[in-house]
Amino acid sequence: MLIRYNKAINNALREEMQKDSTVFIAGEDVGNAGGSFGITRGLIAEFGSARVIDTPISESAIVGMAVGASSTGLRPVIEIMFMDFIAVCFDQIINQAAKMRYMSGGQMALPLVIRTQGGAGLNAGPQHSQSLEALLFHIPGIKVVMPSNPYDAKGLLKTAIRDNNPVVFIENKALYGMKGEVPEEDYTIPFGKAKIVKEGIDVTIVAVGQMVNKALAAVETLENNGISAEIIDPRTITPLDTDTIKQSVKKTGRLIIVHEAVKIGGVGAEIAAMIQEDIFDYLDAPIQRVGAPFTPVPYSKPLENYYLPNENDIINAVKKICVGRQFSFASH
Amino acid sequence: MTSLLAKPTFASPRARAYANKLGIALDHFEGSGPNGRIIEQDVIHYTEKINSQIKDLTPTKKQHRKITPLAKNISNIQNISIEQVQGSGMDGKIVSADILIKVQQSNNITDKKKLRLAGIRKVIAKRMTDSKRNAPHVTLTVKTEATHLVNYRNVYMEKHKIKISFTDLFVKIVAESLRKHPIINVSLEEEMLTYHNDINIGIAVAREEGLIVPVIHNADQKSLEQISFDVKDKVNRARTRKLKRTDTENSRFTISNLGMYEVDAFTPVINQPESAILGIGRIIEDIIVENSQIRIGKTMVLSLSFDHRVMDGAPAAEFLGELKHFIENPEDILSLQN
Repeated sequence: MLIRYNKAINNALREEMQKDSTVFIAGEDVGNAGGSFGITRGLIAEFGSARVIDTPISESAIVGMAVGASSTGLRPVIEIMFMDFIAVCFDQIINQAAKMRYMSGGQMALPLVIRTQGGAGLNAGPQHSQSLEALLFHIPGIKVVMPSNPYDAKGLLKTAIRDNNPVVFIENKALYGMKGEVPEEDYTIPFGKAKIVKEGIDVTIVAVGQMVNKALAAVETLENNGISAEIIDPRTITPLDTDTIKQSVKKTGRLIIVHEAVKIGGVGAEIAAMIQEDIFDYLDAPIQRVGAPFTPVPYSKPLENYYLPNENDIINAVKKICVGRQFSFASH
Repeated sequence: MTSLLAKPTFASPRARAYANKLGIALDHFEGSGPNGRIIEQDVIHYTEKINSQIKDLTPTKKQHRKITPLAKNISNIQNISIEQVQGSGMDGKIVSADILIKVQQSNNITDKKKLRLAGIRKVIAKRMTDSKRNAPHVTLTVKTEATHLVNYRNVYMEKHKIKISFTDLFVKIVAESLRKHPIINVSLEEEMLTYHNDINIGIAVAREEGLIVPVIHNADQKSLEQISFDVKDKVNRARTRKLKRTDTENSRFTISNLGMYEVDAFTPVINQPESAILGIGRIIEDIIVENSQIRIGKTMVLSLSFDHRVMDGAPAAEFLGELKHFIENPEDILSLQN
């Protein structure tokens, strides 16, 4: 069936709650209001206020509650309304959630999911538009999921809820309205398994989150320029499917990494470093990164448009390194 | 040479790794990537080009055509392929008139083949120009009796049941002479003279795509057999494009042997940064006058070009004299090793 990204997440939550009575939801406005973006709409009516809990505006306490609940065997799926607010939860996430399985020698399971949403483009200002996945990517002990479409959102959220480790599930507010085909029957998508969205031979584009769709939008222009791009969506950045990326780069010899987060210190930097460390001799051109400039997300609409990486930025990055004999016929 | 050093060759890791695997030095390729960087496709393009040239050169099915000796000679000299020539003689035999018509036709063709200077040809062009421009060449020649050398070689091959070439012998002779005349074993780079202790002899090897100079390293420390083996191996690999980069590095003195052609003497161009090069002409039967007596023997001409910035005529003449001595008395040097 053809449904939107937000509905796909709503369906995943409902189905997992029906299936497993230990799954519960907590967060700001998730109950009667149905969530700021309508993700939890209708769930309180079906499962009651004991399993769909409206919390005070206290993000650190929400995560702390989830750490405690999950260590006793429940499966909390909590919502941090904007990813920006995750900054106030860092002790709970980094020092508690990420460490407990390790420090208990694996005796303690911590099956908690932190759903949150990030990204710019909706005129929400510097404190409500950030993409902070790199901060979490840096921490061993938490899994980080970034679905780029409705099908992946549903399948990956189900895997997250069934996982016995803390998972941060990052939705993108610009994707909530995206429609996509999602099967009626139960399915999951494994973590650490990248999707080759489109095959190509000249350049590998690794894009995360909503940038996957921007990369796809650039494909036609690139084809007209005689450049065949392979697009890879890692789907989860921790664990990262390095094998698929390396295999692709071994084939194409060229790599572009695209993310919405600022370029400096981003996920792209790690992927670029890993590729040159491991398969340097396969590179036929310098690795390029496409990311946002090193500045807070501007509130002004024209500035925000300028800030957000788009398909033209991807096309320019590709054209910069796809220079040479095999591309020469298209250069005029 | 200095200007070549000033501009490094940029190549992508992928192109480097691939060229390395093929054993082709980077300076063969023309970079088409950003900033002229050599990319994988440039290596592929070069190898495909070379392969197609080889294909063009390998003769397809040989047809036996009847042809008169005169017609054959004309076709050889004029470089006319007899395959498309219609024979007007008996049983379709090709006669001289048939070839001459073809010659006429080909002269009428005004289309010229134009090729941009590229790859190894471009490198050779640059290096030769640099050498001729920067190094004032002086060439000394001397006629040398080779009777003993020829005999020595025959006896040696008979005795040791191995085949050695004149080039092998000259490598040995030059190596030994260089040891006695270290003033020749010098290179000049960026106004700096380097007196080398190692004696590495380069051998100019002709190939379809252009000259290459593989190097016999430490030739003075090798026996004639070792040199012979080394020369064969490197010449073969030069012709099959399997030389490694190290095979062409650190040459100190080059030998250019044109003895297999009808060439007596020539003025070889120094392979910079070396400061001298020996040109070797053919060995001919000759009249030798000695003590007012005439006898028949074998002679050859040695041509030594040297860089007058590095040395003067006198030491070069002494070195040439040494070479002449060893060629005329090969047992002096070659008996040492047995």
